[in-house]
Amino acid sequence: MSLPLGTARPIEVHLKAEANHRPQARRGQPSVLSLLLVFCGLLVLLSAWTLGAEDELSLGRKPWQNLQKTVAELAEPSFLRVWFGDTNSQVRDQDGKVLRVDDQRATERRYLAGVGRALWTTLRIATLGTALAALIALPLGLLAARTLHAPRPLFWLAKAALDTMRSIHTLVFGLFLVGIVGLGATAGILAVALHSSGTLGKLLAEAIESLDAHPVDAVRATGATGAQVFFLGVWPAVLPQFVSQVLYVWEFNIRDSTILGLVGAGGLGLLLSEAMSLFQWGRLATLLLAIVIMVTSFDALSRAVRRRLV
Amino acid sequence: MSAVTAVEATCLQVNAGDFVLLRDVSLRIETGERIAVVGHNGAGKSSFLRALSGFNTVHGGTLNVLGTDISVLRGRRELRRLRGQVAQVHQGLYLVGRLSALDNVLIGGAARNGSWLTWIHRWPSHECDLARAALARVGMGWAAARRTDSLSGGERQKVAIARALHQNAPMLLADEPTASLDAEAADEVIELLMALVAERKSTLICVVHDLDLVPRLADRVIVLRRGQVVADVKATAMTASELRGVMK
Repeated sequence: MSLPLGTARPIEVHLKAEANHRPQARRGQPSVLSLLLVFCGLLVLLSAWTLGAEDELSLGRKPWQNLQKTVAELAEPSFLRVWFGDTNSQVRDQDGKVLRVDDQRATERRYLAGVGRALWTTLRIATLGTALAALIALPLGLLAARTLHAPRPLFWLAKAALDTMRSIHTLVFGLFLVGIVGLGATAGILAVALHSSGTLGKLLAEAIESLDAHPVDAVRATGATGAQVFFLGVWPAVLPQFVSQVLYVWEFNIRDSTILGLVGAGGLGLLLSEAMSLFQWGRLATLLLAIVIMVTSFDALSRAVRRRLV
Repeated sequence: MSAVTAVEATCLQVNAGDFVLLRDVSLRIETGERIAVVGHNGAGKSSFLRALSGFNTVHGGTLNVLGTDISVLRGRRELRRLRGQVAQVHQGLYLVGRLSALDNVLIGGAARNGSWLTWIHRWPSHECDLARAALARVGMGWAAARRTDSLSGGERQKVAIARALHQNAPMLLADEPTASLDAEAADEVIELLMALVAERKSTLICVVHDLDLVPRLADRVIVLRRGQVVADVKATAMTASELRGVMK
């Protein structure tokens, strides 16, 4: 998961500072923004040119036909067979002998129930993982917030831990954890928790750093202890933001955990890899639809809750 | 404890990096005096108040507040004890917005209640009674359960005064307490401040922007210019325009 919240901020602040402090001195020189745009443009050109030179930008031999084939294969999601399937589908061998008779409607009903169970597992993995991540992120985020002045070594340690956890993808954590705690949901939960505690901790630290310092100073001015300053001045102000961030990361994790099953860490991903390796495109279409519906509905839910929070 | 000097500064210097905020400030403020500190922006008014409560480091000279020498004060515990003795009302209504008015007032009692229970906003019942009384005294009893970010500017400033009142300190610092208020609310806040200072016989040191307020707020006025004291006279001794002339 990347950081859509954090990335835009430093640039914006930087520009503001430039604009406030020395508008005159900068006249005639290129602004930070134009330099940045030129730099980004060069980076894009460089990437395209070098990848092209390495012959990595080809679209394959028949991209258009392949695309049409894929679309056609996915156009018949398997769940439709629950209503329109053949109740007396006969599987024959080459000589025309009937090997077995299959009720497609019943088969797909069973498969759909399996998809439901996998969705439920995925949801639980994401939820427990996020809850665990919040618990881990809380102390680390507090230590990593510059304005709380934690002891230097602890500050750097927390920062390093958060950066490390954030930079390793959930799926990679999943690979390791399946080896450590075995196949199943536990590995998934721990993978989600480890990765997103890095994200949450950083978000929390930034939220604390961007708090209005004056009310906090006012609490300090009453002669309150460090702990009182935190609990009476900082925590009440930062709590709604933290809750909102936890919801936001939860939303992300629901998306992330749908593929955790690919490495054996439980949930929907197992069905995904099964459908892909058996070339069951109809079932793959069903799974993708299920994922889209779950993810969008939880996105909407979390967004609605978050809007009411702050 | 009678007639203890509230503030005694000798050759006080306060820096911010290379910049000198206060230079060569020597003055004496007796207990019970009401002081107005005036000067242009950047003259060092707020820096002086911040130095008094240990938020600015003393870089030269000595600064003695309520019998504690701040210039040699290093321990956090000592600093907290001193801050407990100095109540503050700031410009800009610095309350914790998401807390109720009562919870904000209770924070004033933080220095005398170190228990961890205060971390979860559990205060001893007599503290709650005192805080409610303080709110009622400033006429904000009705707002005890209201979140302070739902109150108006004047109402919030009254809650801030209640917090200072609840702190029950012998010295009150006020930094432009009426800065963001309309005339009516400002009047009310000033009257309240003066009544409380008279009741408690506390020392008041107040940064004032509106020079017409000086005679109402203070019996002595200290004029700062570029970090130095340029006048220190009775409040009635100079008119607002004379003060303006000295500030330039």
